[in-house]
Amino acid sequence: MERFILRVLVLVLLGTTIGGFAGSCSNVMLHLPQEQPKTVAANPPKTAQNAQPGATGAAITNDSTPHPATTGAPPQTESVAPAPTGPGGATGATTAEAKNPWFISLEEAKALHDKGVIFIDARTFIEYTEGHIQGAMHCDKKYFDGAAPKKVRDYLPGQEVVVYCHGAECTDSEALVKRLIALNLNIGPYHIIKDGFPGWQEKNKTDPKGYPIDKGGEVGFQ
Amino acid sequence: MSVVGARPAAAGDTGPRVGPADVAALIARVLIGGVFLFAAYAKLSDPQSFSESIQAFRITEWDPFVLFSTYALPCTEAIAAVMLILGLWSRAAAFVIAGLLIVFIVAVISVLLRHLDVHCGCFGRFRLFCGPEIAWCKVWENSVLTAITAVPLVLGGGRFSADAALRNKP
Repeated sequence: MERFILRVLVLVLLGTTIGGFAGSCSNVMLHLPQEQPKTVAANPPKTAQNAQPGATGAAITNDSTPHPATTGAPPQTESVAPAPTGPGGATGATTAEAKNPWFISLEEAKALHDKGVIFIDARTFIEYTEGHIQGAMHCDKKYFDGAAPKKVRDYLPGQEVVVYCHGAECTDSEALVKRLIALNLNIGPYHIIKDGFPGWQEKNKTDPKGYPIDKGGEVGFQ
Repeated sequence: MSVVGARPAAAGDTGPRVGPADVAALIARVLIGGVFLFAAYAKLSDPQSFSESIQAFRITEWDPFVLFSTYALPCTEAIAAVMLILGLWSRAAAFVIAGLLIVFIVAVISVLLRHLDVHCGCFGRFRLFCGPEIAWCKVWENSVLTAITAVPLVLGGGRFSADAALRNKP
């Protein structure tokens, strides 16, 4: 019996020692950093005038609309993006969410959407096809099993991005942002919609033009 | 050298006859060992996802524990699985795996009772019988694995094990 207990202890100690050592050398990111990564804006989003080329005023449209950032604007003069104390031009900077460098309110998200900033849907593809913020790119964290997805490398470097999933209880947006930061592709600043897609959907019911939603597959990020 | 038994052949015996207990122990060892070795590989190949799964369980928010568990759990799984497949210290390895499975069952039930939307990360991006989402299916899956683990725990490694070979060593 003593030998059995000894063997069990040896196995557990061996596993935990090796695991503890590996953990101490690990580069796993448990939380988003306190500050956003410094980025160089290579391709600033377009103006609000052409931000919604497909917006027809319908609450939900069946045809997905290409996002303005995917329509091929030539690279602009490089400039270091300012430290993100809140999304540029967004309203409501005094809200509790604005104190966190990552989370934004729905109103701030709308302002960024109007500006033409790239939105990323971090939910599953099935949920994305059932409804997503107009012009959003779909990017599940599962896509990062190997090399970064081509659309990430093609469209996101130098871009400010807004990520969303199911809202406050959802961790997929943070998980996706961690992976995007780890790529070191000069993406950012990053913003996460605190209320997620459910919050946007609620706003869509009262203000379909301001908070447009599309259904169907992804358009414009192939 | 070999002992021609007056008593019936049993798992762990060194006699020439192979009994059903030896076969059952071998199958259970390879099956459970294989499953856990694969589970360990899936977790260690994507530690970022596994750490997020541990955080999503909301059992603790103490970062050093989360980081430690991210690697210690799969490493312990891998070592116990290899030992079980080889049949070396079979009962101890089976005990460790059974202990892990019971911890997993308790964790899954706690998530279900708290109505959390969690992907377990048990097999990384792969799946065994149940999907990655935490559901009662996971409790049954782990219970079945625990029952199979009980075979080498009770019977030992059987005749086709390193334990038996070492016992036979002159």
